[in-house]
Amino acid sequence: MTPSVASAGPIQILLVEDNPGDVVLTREALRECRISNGIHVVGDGEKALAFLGREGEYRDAPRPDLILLDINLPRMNGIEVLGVIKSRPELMGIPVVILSSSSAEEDIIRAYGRHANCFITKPLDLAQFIKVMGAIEEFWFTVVKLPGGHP
Amino acid sequence: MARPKTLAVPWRALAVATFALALALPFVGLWALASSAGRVQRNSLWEVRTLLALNELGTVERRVLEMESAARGFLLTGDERGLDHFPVAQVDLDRSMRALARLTADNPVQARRLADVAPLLQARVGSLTGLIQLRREGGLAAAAREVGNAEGTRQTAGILDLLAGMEAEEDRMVVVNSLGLDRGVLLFRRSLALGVCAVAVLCGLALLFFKWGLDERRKARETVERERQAAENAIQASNAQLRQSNRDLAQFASVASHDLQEPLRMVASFTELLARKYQGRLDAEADEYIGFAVDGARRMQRLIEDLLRFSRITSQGGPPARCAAGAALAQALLNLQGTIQETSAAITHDPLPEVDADASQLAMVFQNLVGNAIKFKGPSPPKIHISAVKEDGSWHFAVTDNGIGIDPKHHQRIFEIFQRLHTRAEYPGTGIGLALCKRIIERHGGRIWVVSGGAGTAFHFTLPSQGELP
Repeated sequence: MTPSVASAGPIQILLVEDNPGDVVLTREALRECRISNGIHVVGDGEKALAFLGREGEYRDAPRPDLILLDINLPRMNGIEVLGVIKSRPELMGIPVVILSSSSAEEDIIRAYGRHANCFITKPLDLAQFIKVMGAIEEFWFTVVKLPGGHP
Repeated sequence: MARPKTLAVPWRALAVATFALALALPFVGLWALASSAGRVQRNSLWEVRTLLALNELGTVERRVLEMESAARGFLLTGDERGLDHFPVAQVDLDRSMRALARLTADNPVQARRLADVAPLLQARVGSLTGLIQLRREGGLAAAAREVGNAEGTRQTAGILDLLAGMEAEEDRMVVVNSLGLDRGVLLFRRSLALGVCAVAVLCGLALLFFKWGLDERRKARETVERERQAAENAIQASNAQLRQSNRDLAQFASVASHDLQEPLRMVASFTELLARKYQGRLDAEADEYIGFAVDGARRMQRLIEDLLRFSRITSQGGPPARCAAGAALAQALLNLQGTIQETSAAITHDPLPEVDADASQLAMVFQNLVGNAIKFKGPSPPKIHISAVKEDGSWHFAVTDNGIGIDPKHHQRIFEIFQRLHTRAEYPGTGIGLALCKRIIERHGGRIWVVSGGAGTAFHFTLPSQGELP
């Protein structure tokens, strides 16, 4: 089994998203679900890998309990980041939720092909978006049993 | 070779005609030969006759002179033996005259001269016979008196003159005849040479015409080939254009699905966020404006989604496979379950066949047509019937309802994308449904049309298929 560090305290979520609008929306949605603390945002794939490897400015970064990964990212897209995460033993245990603004079949197939834990099309409807975020939180932090466990 | 370029010359016909002429010419030559041979024969005959006539003329002359000298001898001597030859010569003279009459019958000049000479001869023979009689009865003296008046000598000279004239005429005839004969032979030789030349020239012409005909045909074939090649090139060019335009369309679909959705989601989400956060804290007008913005963004989202669905019919449609139309209808009715229950719609159908189609697209067609039938219902609960009739090589389906109907003037327009006959307030929707159906049916090689006068509508469509009822 993968070595994992059980994080104490609040749930840590890494949001990899380059669109500031989506960052705001996600924050809003998570706030409505009362998960306001522990959200870390990086704007591209390279920074996401630096965060996960605790490199440079992310030396003190916590190990996230969940990664929300956008597909369309500058320099290194979400699918590539996903490939790296799922190939590293110390990271592959972290659930990765792929967020996409499209429901294009090929994106979905590529995401699951790289072992994404789930694929979600960002809903147009804000209420729906909030509901989806709530569902993600509910599912991954109360329903699912993850390695290392969680309080 | 100067040949008319625009006028179509029937070279082959010309070649055949010329060759036929070349073949016919020797026969004309044979006929000419035969007829000239006849003329030569006639000329020879004339020549023989002329010679015979000359011979007879000589005989007449000799006999006259013989009779004359016989008579003179008797007059001088009175010896009757000298007269022995006289009657023989007379008989011979008559025979020759008859022969001459026969031989000169076709020459009027000679015939006239013969007619002139005959009485003279008769008179001379008569006078000689008279002299002989006088010598016998009156003796030498009486006869000498008669001879002395020189009448007889004049008669004889006249006869000889006429005979000489006739001989000259016959001599002339000999020359004329032999000249004619020579001319005939010459003419024949020349005609023969000319004929051979003509045949050679005609054969040459025929060959030339034939060659030109072949050239013409080859050129025509080349022209046809060039035109075919040009047409093929044009088709290939337009095929390439079509492929390019299909690629552009696929590109557009991808742009629409990824890049247009993103900013749209921002607009929609943040107007909603505004509404959520500031509802009631602004005035009623602001709330209304936010409502319009949200509604507009949602509609645009639906339009983009519909457009995508429309473009995916061809780009992502599966190949036609044998499937049950009944199953496709069942799937459609399942998707419409909610509205069917809400409106208490009564839906019936004939036994449905197996057809060659993309099953999910066929379900989409049924869903749109049945969905429309329910959506545009009349005052009473919708009654919808789906029928299927086999026509040669295809199945003819119809979805018939008792709804509000469609004015015939709109029957074309309703199949165009995003064309609507009602406001969104009356009936919701983007106007994609029938355009989608048309695209699906036409992709399968079928046809879709509507029959509706006033109340009630029947949508008909065909699917080429050899499938049977299960």
